[in-house]
Amino acid sequence: MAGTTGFARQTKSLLSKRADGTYELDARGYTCPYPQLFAGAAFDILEVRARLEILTDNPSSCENVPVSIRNRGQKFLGVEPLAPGLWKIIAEKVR
Amino acid sequence: MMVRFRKIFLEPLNPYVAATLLAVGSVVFALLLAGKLWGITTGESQLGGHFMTALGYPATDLAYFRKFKLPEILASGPQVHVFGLLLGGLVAALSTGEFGIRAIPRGRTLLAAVAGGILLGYGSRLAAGCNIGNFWSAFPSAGLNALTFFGGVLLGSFATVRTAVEKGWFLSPPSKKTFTFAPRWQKVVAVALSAALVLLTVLVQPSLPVAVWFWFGIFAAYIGYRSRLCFASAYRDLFVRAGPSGRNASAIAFGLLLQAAIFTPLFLMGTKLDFSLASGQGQLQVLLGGLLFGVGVVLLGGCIFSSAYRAGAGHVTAFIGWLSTIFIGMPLLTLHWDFWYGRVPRYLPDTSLWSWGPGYGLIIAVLVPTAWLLYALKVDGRLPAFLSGKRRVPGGA
Repeated sequence: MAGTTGFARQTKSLLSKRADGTYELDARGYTCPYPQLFAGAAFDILEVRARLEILTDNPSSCENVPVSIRNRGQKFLGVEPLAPGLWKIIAEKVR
Repeated sequence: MMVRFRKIFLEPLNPYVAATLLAVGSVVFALLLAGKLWGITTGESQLGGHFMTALGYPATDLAYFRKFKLPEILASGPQVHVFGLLLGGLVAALSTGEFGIRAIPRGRTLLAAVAGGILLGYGSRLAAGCNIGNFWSAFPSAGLNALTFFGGVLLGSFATVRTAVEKGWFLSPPSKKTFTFAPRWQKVVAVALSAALVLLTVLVQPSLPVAVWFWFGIFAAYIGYRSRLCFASAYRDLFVRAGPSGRNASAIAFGLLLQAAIFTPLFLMGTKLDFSLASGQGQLQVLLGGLLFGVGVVLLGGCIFSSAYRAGAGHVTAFIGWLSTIFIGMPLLTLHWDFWYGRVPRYLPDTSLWSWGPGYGLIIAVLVPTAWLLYALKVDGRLPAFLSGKRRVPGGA
């Protein structure tokens, strides 16, 4: 997607891979719509079957990111609170 | 019992439930205030006027304040409403243990918050209304301004998403710090603050309009924060190619239709409702204001309503945007009011299309929100099968 190439670089800098193979996208501090855009760009980077966990402290993103994940045809697995005002949005790249 | 309490008071509210509560609340608000429809920015611009006066500028000499007046803050419903919105966001965040000083912008993100706030303030008062007065309240009253403002906002939002947002022009790594305190204590403070606000109302004994404006601000912001209902998201997220979302657009369109379903029979039965839209905006001013507002809403990442409740909840970016709206953007517009409303022609002055006839009224109050709702549902893949044109595969799931 031509319009999101700038996000690929930024997204790579926020992505890390844990020992168990899960990718973590640290979107803390970013407000709407950027967590959605980072999630979208991450799906362009990751391999199929990869599990993605997006860290966010932006409450609205817990509602908007899951919808945008589904609208991209990817699998949304849930939102887990990590601490007061901090959440983990879990998804899987399925195609 | 405990599960139900948690679901109602601690977990995010369903956006359709929130839109229903806001729609019914807006009708009750209008009935209590002799037909006055909900709006936010008149009061905000008056606060901006007091700020200009405090700086030594003779704001009351401006044509803008000769029209919209500059009443004393605590005696003015629209102005105390602004504080109600902040307090509602604060109570909502505290009550769920989510309050925290967070989203502290830096560099270009800070620039976007200030610029976005200024554009929200300037655009909303150029159009004589924001996403509430010129949209949430204007569609059910079949105002021509609703259609024009919506067109301008969509154009501005689309252009800004496709450029500044998708190309990351205003992205700077933000601070990841959050300053907060224990959720248990936050809930104690929420209860104490709510009790204090009730006590304050009882002791001060404000006039009914002032009390209604103040408490409706608290109510609306509480619902807004608890549901994350956001007009900025509704205008913007249908255009975000990397991950579109119709969540907010569909819920808000539903709220518009619900208001129309309640307001229309009341209006036709002769209930006094202020559908006159007496600000006298011309459509060129509304369109340009909407365009600037659309750019601002995307740059800031919040509308007039959501930036207020988020600011109350400790969201620093929203707070900076809120300050820029009220204390820079709106005062700037008041200085230019003579130009925009004196020299620029006022084409098609605002009117409720009910005055043209029932068919015209229905186009704005019902058909446009219905089209927006269906489009948002289509984006989310929730359009009913008979409307989406997809045929059920025989034997399929």
